[in-house]
Amino acid sequence: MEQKRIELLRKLTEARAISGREDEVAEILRAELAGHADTVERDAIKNMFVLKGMNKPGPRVMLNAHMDEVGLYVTHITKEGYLHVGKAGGIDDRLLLGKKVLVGKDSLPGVIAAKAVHLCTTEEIETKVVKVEDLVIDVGAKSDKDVTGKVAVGDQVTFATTFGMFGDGYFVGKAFDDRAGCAVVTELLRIDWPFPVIGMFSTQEEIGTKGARVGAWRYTPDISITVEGTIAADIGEVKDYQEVTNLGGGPVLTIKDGGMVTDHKLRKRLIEIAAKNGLPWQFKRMPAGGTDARSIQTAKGGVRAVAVAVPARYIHSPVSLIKESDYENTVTLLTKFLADLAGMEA
Amino acid sequence: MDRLIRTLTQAWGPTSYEEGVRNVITAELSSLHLENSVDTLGNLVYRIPCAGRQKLLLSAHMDQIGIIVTYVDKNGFLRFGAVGGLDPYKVLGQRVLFANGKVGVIAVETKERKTLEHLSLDRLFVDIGATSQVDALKHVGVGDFAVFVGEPVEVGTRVTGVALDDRIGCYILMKTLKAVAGKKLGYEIYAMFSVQEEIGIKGAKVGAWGVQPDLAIALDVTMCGDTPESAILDIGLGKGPAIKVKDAGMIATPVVRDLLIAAAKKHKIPFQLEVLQGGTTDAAAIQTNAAGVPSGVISVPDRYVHSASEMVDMGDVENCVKLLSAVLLS
Amino acid sequence: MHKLVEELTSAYAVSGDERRLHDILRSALAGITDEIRDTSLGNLVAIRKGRSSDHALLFAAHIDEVGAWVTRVNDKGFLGIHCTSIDGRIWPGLQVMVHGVRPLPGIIGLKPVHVMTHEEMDRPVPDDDLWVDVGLPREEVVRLVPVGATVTFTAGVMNLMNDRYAGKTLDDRLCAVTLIQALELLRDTTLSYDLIMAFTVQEEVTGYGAWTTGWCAHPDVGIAIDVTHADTEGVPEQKTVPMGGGPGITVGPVVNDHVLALIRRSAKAAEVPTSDETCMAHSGTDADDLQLVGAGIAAGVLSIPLRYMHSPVEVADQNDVDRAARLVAEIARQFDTAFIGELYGTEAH
Repeated sequence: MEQKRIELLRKLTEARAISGREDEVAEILRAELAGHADTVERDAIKNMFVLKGMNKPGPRVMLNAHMDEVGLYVTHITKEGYLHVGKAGGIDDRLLLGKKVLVGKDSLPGVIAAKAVHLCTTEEIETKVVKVEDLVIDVGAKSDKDVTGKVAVGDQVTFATTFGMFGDGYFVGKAFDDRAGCAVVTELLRIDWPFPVIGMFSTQEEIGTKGARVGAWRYTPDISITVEGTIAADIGEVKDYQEVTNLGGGPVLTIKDGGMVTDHKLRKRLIEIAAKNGLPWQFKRMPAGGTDARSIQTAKGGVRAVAVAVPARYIHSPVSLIKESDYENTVTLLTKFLADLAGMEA
Repeated sequence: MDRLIRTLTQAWGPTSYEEGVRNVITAELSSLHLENSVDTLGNLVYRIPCAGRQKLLLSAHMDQIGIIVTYVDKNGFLRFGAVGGLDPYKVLGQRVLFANGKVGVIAVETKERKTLEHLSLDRLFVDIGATSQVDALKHVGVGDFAVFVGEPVEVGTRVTGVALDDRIGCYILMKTLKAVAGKKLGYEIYAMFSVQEEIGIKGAKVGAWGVQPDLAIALDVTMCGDTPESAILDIGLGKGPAIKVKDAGMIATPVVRDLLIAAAKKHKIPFQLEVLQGGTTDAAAIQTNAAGVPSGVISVPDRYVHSASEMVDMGDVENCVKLLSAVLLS
Repeated sequence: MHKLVEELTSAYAVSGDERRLHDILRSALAGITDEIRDTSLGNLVAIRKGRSSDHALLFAAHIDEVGAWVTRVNDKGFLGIHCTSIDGRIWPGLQVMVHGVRPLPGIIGLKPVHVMTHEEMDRPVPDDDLWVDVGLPREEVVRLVPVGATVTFTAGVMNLMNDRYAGKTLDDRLCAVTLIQALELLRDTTLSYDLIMAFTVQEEVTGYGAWTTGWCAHPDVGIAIDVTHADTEGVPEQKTVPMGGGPGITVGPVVNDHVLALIRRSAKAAEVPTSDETCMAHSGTDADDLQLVGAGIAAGVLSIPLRYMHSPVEVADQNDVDRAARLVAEIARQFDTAFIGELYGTEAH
């Protein structure tokens, strides 16, 4: 895969942005899209809108991805300088023990403490899940004075996971949900389309698709494409009918998830375009989960919305995987789809 | 039994695929020559203009619950997910019908006895009688939707069958429009046959935006508490339309609730009052439109909601038409 | 942080594979020891000669790390593992290294919510449900990862505040660093007797490293240097020693009285603060085996305070390491004829 593309994914996935703190990602995207936007706007909930050709004829198309990632935030600092945290988004408590994190605006290194195994009882180890409220983060402080000015209550805590190559054509990293989507939308926004395009990089998706809700009110499109990172459970001993999607199976088209049914006609068109161009694709084989698309679909008088995703293993955890080919095919599929929409020769 | 009830309940229309139902309705109402339109998500809205009057939005949803195929296994059995609220115990043993006419039976994994004690949808599968995966794939595929099967049958003064939720609401709305045709009405009427209610009252939300009504009344079913050892709920068949006070999604605006009660009393229509702990209707979505819309609901008491054999009382249904007509004419 | 900390802790050697570390160790020991030998089980023994070789003082630090062993490969090419000594609750969401034909990065992930039952969600993931994903097709996995291959936490030391740091295998490579730091401090010192630094194997599983080292080195005194539990949030104070309070000194039947006295007066002489800890039947270190070799070795135990032992994020304070190194160097200086006299109950030897 092209180095530029890899770098974009690296930059985006290593950026730190939990719900409500999306600025670092917004600035990266703004820089990446310099020269490609007519206007760039931020609203009160900090969505970033990249607008192109708003005066052109044709359907108003929204390309949407969310900037926030699932992480933790500081809730309390103890006298000894340990940090208590809460969850920012949905994450299984069992993923937290013993992980390396970065805290606050200065990315202070820390670890999520894991009591020495020798000090645990067998019963504890086998039956007790350590909940987030019972965890602490150790930054090496001797007292709370050590962290004054460096850590404050409310600061974001993200996993210290770096992006890299993995296995047979995979990328490992954090936050592919939804930096992979942000990257895809960025690539699409670098093309000039003959219809109005609203690039909406939304905020607070992980805590209730809130950014999209008001963003779609501000700029209500005719057609909306949400690009996400979605569950691939083709792992371990998961039964084949529970896998939802497979890495390597191509971009994922949602028919129904936990929040909506996508526009049947647009989805069928995506499938036709994929077939015409020999691109792999797969359905999301479980009507669960939710995306910004559900908030966009019911804005004002209704929007014809679809959701397309890059499949990813272990989303909402410290480290996840995507396959190079799936990312590339997602960009290609959507580029061809938009070209078809424009009536252009793809 | 009015053949329209059969036509309506047998129209294939799981959430998001309401065209079939829309076609039945437009055909049936064509003789009224009413202005109508279909919006972005597929809501069908009829308008009866009435200068100087408040805009009253009526809503009955066209979609029914169903299933979506998530997997076709190597032996041709199908795994599925829910479209709308499905109770695994009510679904087990039912037949399902795909758009192409293919029929399947819902069965359960039998390896472990305790599966039945805590039944969940992912322990169920659909058997379409296929002899292999290849055979199954000739007829169905991942992503296909299906509805439950159940011809409506008259049982005494009642009717039992599939999809009375909310085709009976559509029926009431259609009959009302016919009943008040040509008459002088007290409101500008928007009669909306909405989409996607079962997965989150979505059609009603955007439909309300398109209409911007002054008040609203939804027509939907409600549960009953008149069967053996039933959960406590003071609603039963044959006691008239239920006028909603509150459900899990809204408090019926008192002015609308009272308007319905007053109309019922005035025209000596029997009625019940409804407090429902679980579930809601299109009215909840309309009520929060723009600055707010006073909203209420006329509910049809319905035993066995979200099963393939729901049951309503035709006397209640007629009284719903009478009540709604009385409101429109007032 | 001593540069060797990153290098040694980042190396991969689960019990049994310790020879992999020999090159790094030999290179670090060059110029500060006189002789280096390895034993049949893979122990590395470095000797700093004294004026006389009649007696010897041995320090032992183990170089094996905790890890898991691959037990099977499933249809999807995922690896099932077996491990002891590690809290199974740490694995989900962790990046690991699989040491097959070549090192392969892996991930141990968690099943998504929709695939789990309610009972499963409220319980730690049982070992049988932990699967390592290396992102390769099954045929490749079978070719590259034999059953029995080891799986470890990934390398990388993270610097924290106050000279503290976090990473894997501080237990017990930090003590190996301590011994090397001590040798550096003793570079220009003449010792009365031989000083043996033993980098032992298999402490985490069997203790055979210490056992066989004790046998072939036959020192008079054998002091194990290992890690001990440092103050941890949520753990009662009496079970730990303070981090930053200097090395721990163990008191108990495993420790010879004279060795304990030697340690205490060395600490005083070197002005090293220490904390006391107790043990009864076992200290949980190489000393347990050293004490019982042959006719017996006079044993002792020193420790470095460590938080979150046997996790990928063990935390230690460099100041404790520096102090321990100074203490070890001082003990070596004080291991003289007078001490030997005390130890064997005669004036001169």
